[in-house]
Amino acid sequence: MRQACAEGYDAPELLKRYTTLGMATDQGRTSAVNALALIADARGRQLAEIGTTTFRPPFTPVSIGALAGAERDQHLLPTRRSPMHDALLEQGARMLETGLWLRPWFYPQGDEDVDQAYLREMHRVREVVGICDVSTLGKIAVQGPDAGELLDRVYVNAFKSLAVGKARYGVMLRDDGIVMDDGTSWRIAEHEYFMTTTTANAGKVMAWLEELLETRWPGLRAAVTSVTDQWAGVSVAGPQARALLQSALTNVDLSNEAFPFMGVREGRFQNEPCRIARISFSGELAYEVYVPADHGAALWRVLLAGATTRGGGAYGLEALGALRVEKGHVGGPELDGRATLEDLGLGRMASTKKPFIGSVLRLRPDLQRKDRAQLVGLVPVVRGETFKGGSILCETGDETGHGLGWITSVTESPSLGHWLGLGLVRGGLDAWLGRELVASDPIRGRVTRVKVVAPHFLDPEGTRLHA
Amino acid sequence: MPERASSLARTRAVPDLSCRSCAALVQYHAWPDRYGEMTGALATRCGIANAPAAGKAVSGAIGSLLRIHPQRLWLISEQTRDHPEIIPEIGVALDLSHARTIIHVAEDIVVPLLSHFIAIDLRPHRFAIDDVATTPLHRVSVALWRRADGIDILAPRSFARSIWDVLAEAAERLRYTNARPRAAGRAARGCLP
Repeated sequence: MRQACAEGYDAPELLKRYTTLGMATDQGRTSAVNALALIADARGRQLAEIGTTTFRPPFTPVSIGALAGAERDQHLLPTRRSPMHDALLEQGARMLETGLWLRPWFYPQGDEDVDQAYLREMHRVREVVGICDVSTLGKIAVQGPDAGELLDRVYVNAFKSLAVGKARYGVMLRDDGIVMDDGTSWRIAEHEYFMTTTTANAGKVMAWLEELLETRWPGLRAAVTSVTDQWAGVSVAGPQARALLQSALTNVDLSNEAFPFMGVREGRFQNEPCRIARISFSGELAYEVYVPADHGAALWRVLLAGATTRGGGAYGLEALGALRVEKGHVGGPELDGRATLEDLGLGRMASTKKPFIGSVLRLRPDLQRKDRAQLVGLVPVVRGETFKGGSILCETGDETGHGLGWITSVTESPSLGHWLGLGLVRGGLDAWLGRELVASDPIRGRVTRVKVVAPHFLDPEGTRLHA
Repeated sequence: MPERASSLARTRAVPDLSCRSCAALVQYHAWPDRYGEMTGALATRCGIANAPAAGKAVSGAIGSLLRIHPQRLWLISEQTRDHPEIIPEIGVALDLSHARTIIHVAEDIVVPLLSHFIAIDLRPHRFAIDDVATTPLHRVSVALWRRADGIDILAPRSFARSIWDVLAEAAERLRYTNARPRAAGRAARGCLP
């Protein structure tokens, strides 16, 4: 402040803009008077002679709730509906707003609540077969002779070398080296990829790719187009997934030999072309099948009838999330805009043979620290106990302050018979594997002893998904 | 062929709003230095003398070409799913036939209805037949295409029902407010001493 005054910025409005003092979270409410006192001191004047900056409302603190307003109707926002929307409602789906989308949360039977329904749905997937509407996943057509080059530049791993008819899981970083989004990209043809993104980040990724092509790499012969609305998608997962899908599709051999894990094929659904990839979010033998959107409801009804006949059925968003926690896949709660590849246990995915967005800044010393919060699995020490997402992870006997980390995702596991969760804890598995922590939930006044384990709770060898 | 379900299948019917079907909507994207070659090739295949200028549509034997982007054309065909291919050295083609729902607004209510939602002057002498524009509507990016009998709104399929609902509500309110003053006026005259 004194230096600024010495340089001539000794009037309140000038000094505010020169130093940015008063522009931060307090908006000058606490800092302004102190600053004015320093100016007065530097100029040898009385505080009252200095004046103030222009005050703007709010003049007194306002709660965030007052600014956000009441939760009422759609707030004039549009609603997005999946091609299967009406078919899902016919089936009794309880819908959940996720962004602008309405997605099936769970499918109650009788008086079931969500907790009862999602466990039943999970059990069906693990034991028989389940189908899930995944049409809301972001889908982007990446086309052109340089499509592979574009993906190589935005994903941390290689895609130019991916063979036609294969899919690969990819992670993209922001410029600053933090994880931005993940998903699988399928190589449909020599010059065409079918990129999938998370539902939440679909718009952001699409805008990001457009920006890159228009500003940084206008010379690339690659085009990106959102095809989220073009395709309806169904995930078919469980031990009987292959048999169910084979009964609904033609012109495709789904056998393990002809269609291995991470394979991509084109088939026919009632004589219309469809795209199929053998990929798994749940850890089960699973496929994603996409048909043109107007045929989505027809595909859903055929698959549902087949699944029901086999003792399976539909599963919703709650079960989808719980299945991925059991498998230890990261999702939205872990990709929180702060995590690096290493934090999420994905560091080995990063190519050392090519540059990619974020490849330089991810190596900043602070992002490479070993004591950063890193992904771990958590189980209750007393197996009957539960814990909540958002709980703070602390050392035993020191349940104060910010702790050592936090719990990102939890679920009850019908397969393992107890609760389990994913979390990010300082030092990760290297520091805590096999040791105890405390999950502190100060809002509810609960404390649960948890043990740190590897995050892959179910079938870590991948036997099920390669079946 | 499997049953084809429109995104507007369960919307309430409203006079002056309808769903227009199309057999194919194909996007053509040209590489920056090859746009002229692409449009020339497409115009020939579509039986069109000249490809459309920016913000215009031109119709030919197998459909209409719309210039919706500096590097992109949309081919919309109501009759056939067949469409011309282009070589990758010039550009790429992409089927979007299921990605857009076409909401047709009858000419009589185009200006009074859409003026509530869109900041484009849609009066016929300013936005004439075969004029094309991309604009937000109900916070969603849509394409507008002036036809002889009204305007086609090419809306992303997943948003179509939501857009239909706000248009339908506004259209009903429009009829109500247009009708009431006349009735009130007659009634008022009848009450004069």
